[in-house]
Amino acid sequence: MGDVIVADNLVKRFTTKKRVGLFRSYSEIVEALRGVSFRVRDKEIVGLLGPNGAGKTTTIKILSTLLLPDSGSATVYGYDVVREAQKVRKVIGIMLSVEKGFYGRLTGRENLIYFGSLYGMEKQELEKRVDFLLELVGLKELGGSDRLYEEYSLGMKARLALARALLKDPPVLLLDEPTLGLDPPSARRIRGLVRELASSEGKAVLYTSHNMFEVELVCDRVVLINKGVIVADGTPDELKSMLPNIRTLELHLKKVPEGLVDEIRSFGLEVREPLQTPEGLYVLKVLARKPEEVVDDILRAAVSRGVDVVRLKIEEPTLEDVFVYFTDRGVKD
Amino acid sequence: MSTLLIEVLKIKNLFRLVRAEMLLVYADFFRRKIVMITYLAWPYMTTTFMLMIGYAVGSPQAFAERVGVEPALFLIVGSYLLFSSMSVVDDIMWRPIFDESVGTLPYIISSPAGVVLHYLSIPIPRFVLSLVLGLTTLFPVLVVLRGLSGVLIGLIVMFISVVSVATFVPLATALGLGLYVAGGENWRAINFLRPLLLILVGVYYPRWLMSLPLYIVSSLIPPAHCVEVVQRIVVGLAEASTITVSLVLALFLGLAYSPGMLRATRAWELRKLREGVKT
Repeated sequence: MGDVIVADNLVKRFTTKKRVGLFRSYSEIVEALRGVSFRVRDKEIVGLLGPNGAGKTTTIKILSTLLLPDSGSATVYGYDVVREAQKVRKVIGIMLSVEKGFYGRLTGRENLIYFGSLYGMEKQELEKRVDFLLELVGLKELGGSDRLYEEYSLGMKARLALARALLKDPPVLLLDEPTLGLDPPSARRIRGLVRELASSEGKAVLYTSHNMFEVELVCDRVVLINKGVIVADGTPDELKSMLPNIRTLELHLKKVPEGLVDEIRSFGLEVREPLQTPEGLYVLKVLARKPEEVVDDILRAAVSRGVDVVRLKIEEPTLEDVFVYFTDRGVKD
Repeated sequence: MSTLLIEVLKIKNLFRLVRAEMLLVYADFFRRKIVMITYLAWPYMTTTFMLMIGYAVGSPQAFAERVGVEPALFLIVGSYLLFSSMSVVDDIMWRPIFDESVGTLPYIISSPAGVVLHYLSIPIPRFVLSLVLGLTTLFPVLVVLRGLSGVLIGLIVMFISVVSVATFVPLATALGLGLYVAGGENWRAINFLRPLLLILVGVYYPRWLMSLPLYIVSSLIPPAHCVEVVQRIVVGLAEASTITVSLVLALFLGLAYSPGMLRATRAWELRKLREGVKT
């Protein structure tokens, strides 16, 4: 199977009511998705990245058959999400919220048995699967299997939510911010599991997150969405190479003499305003596509003004730079 | 109607769902002792309260003369029937609101089981509990007041309560989900419907004493016929033909409301899918 998830020109508008005083209101149409298209291949983890309100959750909801698109189409595992919703439901595992989605009066194990029954699993098979999953996500070792859900920590809740997504052993996972608010060990555990599921079990994963570091660690490919439109799609390296000035030359100086910044800018480089560190040094960040080619010129400019360069380093761009660049550009556009 | 039949025929899936719902309902019942105690004490509490009011404004003799039976017996049977029907209705109407608030609704809607089958399974565990309630409520009072014949009356009342609840589910689901489709989920809707049904079902006021317009409206509610049968049995006015006609009427109405239940459930699901199931 090649493309496991195919979203083609998805459009979704919501009508919201704006209230004016107690009695008056008027309707306003919000365009959540304005023609979203992307693909997720077999065994691939794709990160859907975007700022708040960009359309990530709307996209996930459409793919998980929880929301009808106004136009466009989407298929999951070859099944249409509107016409063949029941078939789609059999091949997806979803995780939509970390902090809720279970019954507080049931234990972790009971909650999984409850949802497994809803998914049509046979009792014996279900009990075995639940045991396996509680072990896999680490809830057994945390003593969470037979503890009431309402007594769970956020990390335990996230683990249980992932376990539920895996109940049917589905080939496709749709995970909406699965590590939101988690402590580093829990987040690391979830990330590790997702990677393992894709590499060893061949699952296709659509993964939304705000955490750039995490997306870079987990995802093979990143789809950037902003204001309901896909603004970039590629591997993290491909996206970074799309930045006009992709690397940062960072100079730590004892002072910033007049004219230095202007002279560096005259080389055609982008220079950020200098910042002072607690030790009294000034940090000057110069953005350049190939900083090693301009470093001599910059150092010469500094030395000619009698400045001591205490430290110099070249920083590779992060996914966060990519994110800021594309979402800022979206705002300016 | 045929679609409903197809749903019911997925009997294996239904059993699975009922088992899951039992887990949910009984965990709440047994783990929260206050829920269990209140549940078991409720018919007694209501009866006591009604009797206190009755004794304050009237006399038990006047009640017995007018209705034909001692008030304690009439009210405990009424309270039991009311509680068994209402707790089931509450479960059906409350669940969409509850599932949305705890965030389980997306997982229910996106499960392959389907919403209709799920809604059919919701009232069953609570209903089984109400049978237990019959043992703790009806039998002790009936045996004290009527001796051994009270046991027989108790069994008949419990059987009729089964019919009452089973025939009430379609109407309750259609009304509840229909109301949610029209005006959105709101717990106030339950508070609006509950007392209305309480009056119309005739639990605390015999239907044969109702005014004609009220009698006609209450005739459209399936459990009203069951309640009337029970009341007639308690009062000693029951005839085999009346009982049969009433129960057949209740069953007919239950079936007649089934397509409405199906339509309301589908409309509610569609509305959720259009606006997006809240996560």
